[in-house]
Amino acid sequence: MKGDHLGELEELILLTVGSLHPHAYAPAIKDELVEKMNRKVVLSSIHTVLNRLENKHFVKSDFGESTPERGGKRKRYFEITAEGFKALEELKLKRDALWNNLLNLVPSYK
Amino acid sequence: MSFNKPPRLASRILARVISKELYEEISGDMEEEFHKDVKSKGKVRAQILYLIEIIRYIRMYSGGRKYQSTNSLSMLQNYIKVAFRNLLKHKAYSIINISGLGVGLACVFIIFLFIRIETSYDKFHENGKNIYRLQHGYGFINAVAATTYERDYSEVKKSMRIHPWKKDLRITLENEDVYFEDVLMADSNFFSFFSFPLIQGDAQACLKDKNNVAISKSFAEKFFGTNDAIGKVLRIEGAMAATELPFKVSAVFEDVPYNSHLQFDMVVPFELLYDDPTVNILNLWPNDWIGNYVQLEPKADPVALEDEYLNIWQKYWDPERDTVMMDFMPLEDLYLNCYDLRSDYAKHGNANQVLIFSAIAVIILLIACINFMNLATARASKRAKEVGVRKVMGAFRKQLIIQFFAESTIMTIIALVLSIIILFISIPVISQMADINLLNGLQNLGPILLVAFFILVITILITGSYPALFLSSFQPVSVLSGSDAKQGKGLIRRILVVFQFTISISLIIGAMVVYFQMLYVKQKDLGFQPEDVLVMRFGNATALQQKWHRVKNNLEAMSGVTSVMASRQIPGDNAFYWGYKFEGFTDYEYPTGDAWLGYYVGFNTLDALDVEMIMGRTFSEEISTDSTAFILNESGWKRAIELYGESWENPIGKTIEYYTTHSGDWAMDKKGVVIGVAKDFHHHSLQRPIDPLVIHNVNSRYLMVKVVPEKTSEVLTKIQGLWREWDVPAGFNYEFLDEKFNASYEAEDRFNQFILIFCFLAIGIACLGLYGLSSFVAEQRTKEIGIRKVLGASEGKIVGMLSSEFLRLVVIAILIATPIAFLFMSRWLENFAFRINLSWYYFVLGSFVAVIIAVLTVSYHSIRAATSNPVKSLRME
Repeated sequence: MKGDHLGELEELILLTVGSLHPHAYAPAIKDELVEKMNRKVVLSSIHTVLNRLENKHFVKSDFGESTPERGGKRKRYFEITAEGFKALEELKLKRDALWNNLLNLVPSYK
Repeated sequence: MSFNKPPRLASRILARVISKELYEEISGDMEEEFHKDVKSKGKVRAQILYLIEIIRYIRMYSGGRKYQSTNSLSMLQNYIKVAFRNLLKHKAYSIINISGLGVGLACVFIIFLFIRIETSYDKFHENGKNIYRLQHGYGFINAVAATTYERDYSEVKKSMRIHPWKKDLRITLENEDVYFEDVLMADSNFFSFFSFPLIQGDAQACLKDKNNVAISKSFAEKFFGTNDAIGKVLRIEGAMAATELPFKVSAVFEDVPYNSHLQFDMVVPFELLYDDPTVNILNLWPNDWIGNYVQLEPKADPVALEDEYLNIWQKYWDPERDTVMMDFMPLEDLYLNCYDLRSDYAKHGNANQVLIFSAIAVIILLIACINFMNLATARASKRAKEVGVRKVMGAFRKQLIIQFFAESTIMTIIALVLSIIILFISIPVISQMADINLLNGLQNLGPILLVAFFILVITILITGSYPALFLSSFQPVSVLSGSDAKQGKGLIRRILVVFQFTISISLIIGAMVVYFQMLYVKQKDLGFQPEDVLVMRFGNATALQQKWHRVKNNLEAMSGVTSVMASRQIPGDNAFYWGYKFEGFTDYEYPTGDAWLGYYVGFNTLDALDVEMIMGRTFSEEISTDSTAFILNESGWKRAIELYGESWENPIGKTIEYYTTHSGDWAMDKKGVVIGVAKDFHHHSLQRPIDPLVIHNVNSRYLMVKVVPEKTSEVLTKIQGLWREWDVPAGFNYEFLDEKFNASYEAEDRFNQFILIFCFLAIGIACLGLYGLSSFVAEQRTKEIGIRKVLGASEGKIVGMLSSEFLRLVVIAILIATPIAFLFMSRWLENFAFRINLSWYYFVLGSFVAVIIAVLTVSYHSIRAATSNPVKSLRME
């Protein structure tokens, strides 16, 4: 089902949201992605993905404090939901299964 | 931190694009990013990144709304594609439409420029809304009215006077260069009263001293080679009496814009007149010679002040007086609204012309639009199938309406491009012909573009509306089943054709009347012979009188000179009023009345100009009493009989007393006998009736020389040589009397020419439309014609059948147009004192021409249809 499917970027961002818990908001996610994954993603893409994830109920959000460098506007913090966690976990399990297969069948590259 | 704000405009765009609930978060995040970028990458790059980011957001978040518009966008592309295909497929139709509309739009723009120029006059004065000129039949009055108003009435804030008659004065520079120029005399508040901008000098003070002169920028450059002319000295002869006085430049003003009723390059103080011993009428009321302006308080009522003039007159001049005329003419209307003054120093346009041209512009555009509508609906049957298919495929009516509007928009825009090309070519030509620099109307482009856009939208709406509503209303079932392929009987189309032809026929009749009236004016016997007469202005009033014998002897000795005349006035000049007391009567006509007008000519003038005498003789140099003698013209003689009884049946030898204020008070100026009666001649332009004249003998100001045509240039060079020898206090300039006389209705003439041109264009466009329409009708009926031919109809019959349909419409149009044309043309002719009769044959001829034009345009297609082979048209069934 399309609704439950996680795209690659979606998965990555969902993971980051979880790993930054409870301080995940878009610019922080962006920095984290650069730092940990060496991957540059533009802010607008992150927003889009976050909205999509929220529509799928994988994350929930709440407004946090505002700071002067934000022009007085509040941050929107994202938090991974149980469903989101489950989806991630499911994906990881499926992947692990594939990994195991891979390692079993072509061990020579290791 | 607060210095580095992200670009505001971009933020605003963001705020509009992104929905409210997301805005706070996104804009906050972006601002945070922005500050980070400023630190790491510098401000410029941060801003660029910010902008790029915003563009991404716009793309992303307008996506949701985009879904539908993507479709209509591609439909729009399709409409445009279909429109272009249609344009190319029906080339003749497209050419007719586009050229008609293009020419129409070009006409409208040209007329718009003209109107813009004509209505721009005198609009630049700061207090212009409250400034009025005092006038009464003439554009000028006495030297006391405005100042009295200012003194006696608190509603009158300021007053200002000008003396505009100092023409052709000799200007001598310090380096002895000599120029002859016009000089304006004005009260010292001239530059603060009006808003002519000064480059140098002080507006309040620059005319305070009597030896001050303000000159224009171009004169400063001409005289001194520099703008910086303050303090330079020049000598002017004749600013006061006949003496030469030194003047010091106290101000340099910007050249007077073309759209000012007052045109001048040098201004000297009005005060000088009070020192002038030859001017003794400054405090007299019955004189008309000074331009008077007042500025009223914003709430003052000019009409009430006009009425006060009688009180003023009674108080200061004549307690017995019971009527006076006074007109407060608003400065901003001065140029357009008082073209019918007897005489004026100001430049004038004609409000009627502006109205007529506006009407013509609308008519031309309307005709072009109607062409478009007619042709579009005539093709309805061809496009009905397309409409049907589109509807079956799910098109809403709204979409079809959009489609047809898209087509009319494309057509109109192409027409606009064409009209711009036409404008580029024609503006210089027309500017030259019309003696108006149309490019002046292009100043300040903003409103022009607005109007252009407005005209464009109107055109699109008119041209698009009918086809759009009509074509989109087709029912797909009936259209596609072919049961009712000939949609509608085209009633509206017929009405439009009738309307178009009504306009065209009115224009044809109008153009003919205009043309014949022009011809009549040109060919009318003037009552004198203006040909081959050179006119030269001989300085001030006395110069020619003093030098007359010498000048006359010199000239008469010249070969090629037929006769030599001196005259205070020449034909074309305005006759003056004054008081005349006829023998046996104690009353005299009060000045400013028009019962009698004085006309001042010198020896020889009436004879040399071949004015016929009814009785008596002309002025003679040999008879000394002739210097005070009078001659009446025919109208004057008749008026004398009417007013003073039958004793004036024979006026010769009777005395007339002549009253003026020349002596400094209202008094008898001279008394003399009537020595002759001249046949009426046109002493001024044919627009005015011939005045009852008392002709005086005054041989000053104008030197006229009648020459043998072949020797004109030879005589001219000789006179130019003698000019310096005679020491004439004026530059050598000459004109031909006939040209000078015709100049008085040259403007009218030119205006009429333009009306003719625009009429022909309108008729041409209407014919283009009819041509296109007839082709479609013929095409539509090819099968019918084929069957008729097969069944034995003759070619003539078929041509008749096809033409008669249009002819019926033309006949209806004739019936409507005739009374309209009659009404308008009889009113137009009322402008002329001497005019043609509006006889029946103009209408018959005009209608006939319309019928011929209609037949010719229609016949091409009807003959082609009639001669075509029926096999071809019927084979395809």
